[in-house]
Amino acid sequence: MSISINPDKCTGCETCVTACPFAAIEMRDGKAYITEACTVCGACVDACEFQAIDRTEEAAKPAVDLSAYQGVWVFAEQHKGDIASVSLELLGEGRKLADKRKAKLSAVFIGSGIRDKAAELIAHGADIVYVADDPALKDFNDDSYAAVLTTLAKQHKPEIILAGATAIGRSFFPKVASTLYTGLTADCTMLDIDAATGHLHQTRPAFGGNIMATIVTPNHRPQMATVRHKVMKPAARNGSRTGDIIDVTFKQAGTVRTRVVKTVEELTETVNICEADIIVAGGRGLGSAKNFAMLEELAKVLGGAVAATRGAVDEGWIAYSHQVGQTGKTVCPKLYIAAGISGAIQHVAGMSSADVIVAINKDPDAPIFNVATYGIVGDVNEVIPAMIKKFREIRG
Amino acid sequence: MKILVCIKQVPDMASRFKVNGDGTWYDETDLAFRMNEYDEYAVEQAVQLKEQQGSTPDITVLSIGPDRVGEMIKKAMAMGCDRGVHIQDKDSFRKDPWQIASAIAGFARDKKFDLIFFGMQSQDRGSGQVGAMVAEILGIACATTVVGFAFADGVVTAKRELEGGIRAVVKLKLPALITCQLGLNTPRYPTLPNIMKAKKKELLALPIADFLKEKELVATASAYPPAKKGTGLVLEGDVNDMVGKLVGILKEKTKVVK
Repeated sequence: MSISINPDKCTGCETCVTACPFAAIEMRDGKAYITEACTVCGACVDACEFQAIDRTEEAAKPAVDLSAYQGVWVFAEQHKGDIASVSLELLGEGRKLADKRKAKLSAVFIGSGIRDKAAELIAHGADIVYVADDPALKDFNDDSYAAVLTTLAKQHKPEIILAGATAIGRSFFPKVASTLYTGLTADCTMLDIDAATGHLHQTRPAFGGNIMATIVTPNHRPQMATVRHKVMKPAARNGSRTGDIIDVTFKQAGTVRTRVVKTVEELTETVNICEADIIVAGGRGLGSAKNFAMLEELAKVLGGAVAATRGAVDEGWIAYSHQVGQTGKTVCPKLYIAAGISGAIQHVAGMSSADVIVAINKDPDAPIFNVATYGIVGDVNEVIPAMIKKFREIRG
Repeated sequence: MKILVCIKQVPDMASRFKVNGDGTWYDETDLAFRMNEYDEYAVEQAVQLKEQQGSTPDITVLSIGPDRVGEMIKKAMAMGCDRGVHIQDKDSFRKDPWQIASAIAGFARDKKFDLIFFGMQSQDRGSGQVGAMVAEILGIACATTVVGFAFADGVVTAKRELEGGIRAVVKLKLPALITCQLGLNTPRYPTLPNIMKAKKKELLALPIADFLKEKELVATASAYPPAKKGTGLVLEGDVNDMVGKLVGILKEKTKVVK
C-alpha cells in the first residue's frame, strides 16, 4: 500500500499536515509531500477536502489455487552417476509425507548416463521417476538443472519439492523457486505435513542452532525446501517395488549463462565431511601440524573423515574445506570425536547435532564437555595414540 | 566497470540468544552487531578486483536494515568501497529471502552493475538464497560458494565448491553475480587513514518502499529454543583405562563403531 498526492488537486492548504499523526507530511514547493515516516494509516486521505490524496493497494497477484498441486517430489542428486546418500534420505522422508497426504512420491533424476540407476529410486520408495539423461547435463550447472526442474514442475504441479541442502541443492533451488514464484526454506532438519491442508511445516535451525524456526508457505505452491544431510532416515530398499520411469527430453529453455569448464577433485577430501558417519576433528589444542596428523590416522582406522576448528585451519594444519562451525560446514555424523577443541560456540554451531559427541580435552572446564556425550579429561597427544591402538586391536 | 557488494549485519555469535516476544525471531536487546563474515570476503574480493583493474571500477556497497547498519557500511567503505547505499528498513528481519532479493534487484535493475558480490550466506539465518535469487531476477550469470576468483578480458573464472570434495571451474560473462565462500581471501583490516577517508564518502539512505513491491512467500510460524541434550559422562584418570572404557561404550552404544 502507498499514499500518493495528486499535485493537480492539492491546493497547499496544509490540512493534511495537521491531520497526520506521524508528522510524515511536509510542504514542498507549495504542495504536500509524504515523507518516509508515513505508516500508510490513511488519516490524511480522510482529512483532505480536495480528494488530492489517494491510498492505493498494490495490484495483488491472483491467488494460487492450492488444490491444483498434488504429490511430493524429491530432487535425486547424483555425483558422477552415483545416487547421493542424501537422495535416499529424501526418499525416506518424502515417502512419509506422501503417505500422510495419500499422494504419490516422485523423484527427479538429472545427469548423463544415469538411466539404469532410476530403478534404484523406485526400490527406495519413489512411485514415479522423471529422468533427464543428456550429455549436456553431465556436470551440474544451475541454469540447465533449474530449467529441467522448472519445466517439469510447471507441467505436473507438485505440492512439495525437496532437495538436499548440499552445495548443489542450495545453489539451484533459489532459482527454481524464484521462477515458480513460490517460497523456499533452506536447511530443514524436520518436516511435517498437515494431512488436511497440505501445509508443510518446515523446521530449520537458525543462528547456529540457537533458535529453531518453523516456516510455512501458506499461499504458494509448490512448497520447496532443502533438507540437511544425515538428519532424515534413509529409505529402506525393496527390490520388488514397482513404479514408472518417465524419460524427459532436455531442452535448455533459457540461456546458459554460466559455463562449466571442468570439475576437479581435491584429493585430500575423498571423504566428504558432510556425508561422513564418523568425524575426527581437531583444534588448536593439538599444538602442531605433526600432532594434528595423528587425527588422520585415527580417522583412517575408524573409516571416518577429518574436520577442524577455525583455529586449526588458521594454523595451516588443514585446508579451509575441512572447517566445521558457524563459518564452515555444518555436519551431522553418527560419531564426532572432538580432540583438543575448547568448544567455542562458533565451532559447536556446526557439530552439536551429531548423534554421539566424544570430547577429549585436558581442561575439565572446557565448554566442549557441555555438549559432549562422553568426555575424556586428558592430554590429546596421549589419548589419541591410545585410541588408535585400541581401535586397531578390536578392528583387527 | 561498476561493482555492487551486498552485505548484511548480524549479531555477534558470542552473544546469548533469546526468542523475541512474538516468537518469530531473536530478541535484539543487548546484542552486539557486526558485518556478516562471508560478506567480508565479498567486500575484500571487490576491493582486490578494483586494485587489479587500476582503480577504475566503482564499488557500491549496499545493506538493508535499521539505522545501526550505517556503521558497518562505513567499515566496508574503509576497506575500499567507494560509496554506500543504506536501504532503510527497521523490520528487515521480518522480510523473507524473496523480499530482500526483490528489494536489492529493484535497486540494482537500472544501475547496470557489471559484477555483484554476495557472501555465501548470512551467519544468522544462513539460508543462502538471496544472492542466487537476485541473479535470477536480474537474469544474469551466477556462481555460488566461490573459493577461487579471477577476472580477465571481461570474463570471470570462478572455482566453486560442490559436494564430495569436488570443485567446478566455471566461466561467467558479465554481468555476473558470485557468492563468496570461506577461504576465498583474507579480508583486510581498515587502516586509520582509510577510516578517516571513509567518513567523507557518499552514504545514501533510501527507504525500502522505493524498491520493494513484493509480498513475502514464506512465513515464520514459530521460533523456539532447541531441546537441551542431557549432560554427558566425563571420564578422568589413567589414559589407557579411560580409552578402554570409552571404546567399550562406543562399541556397545553406537552402531558405527563395531
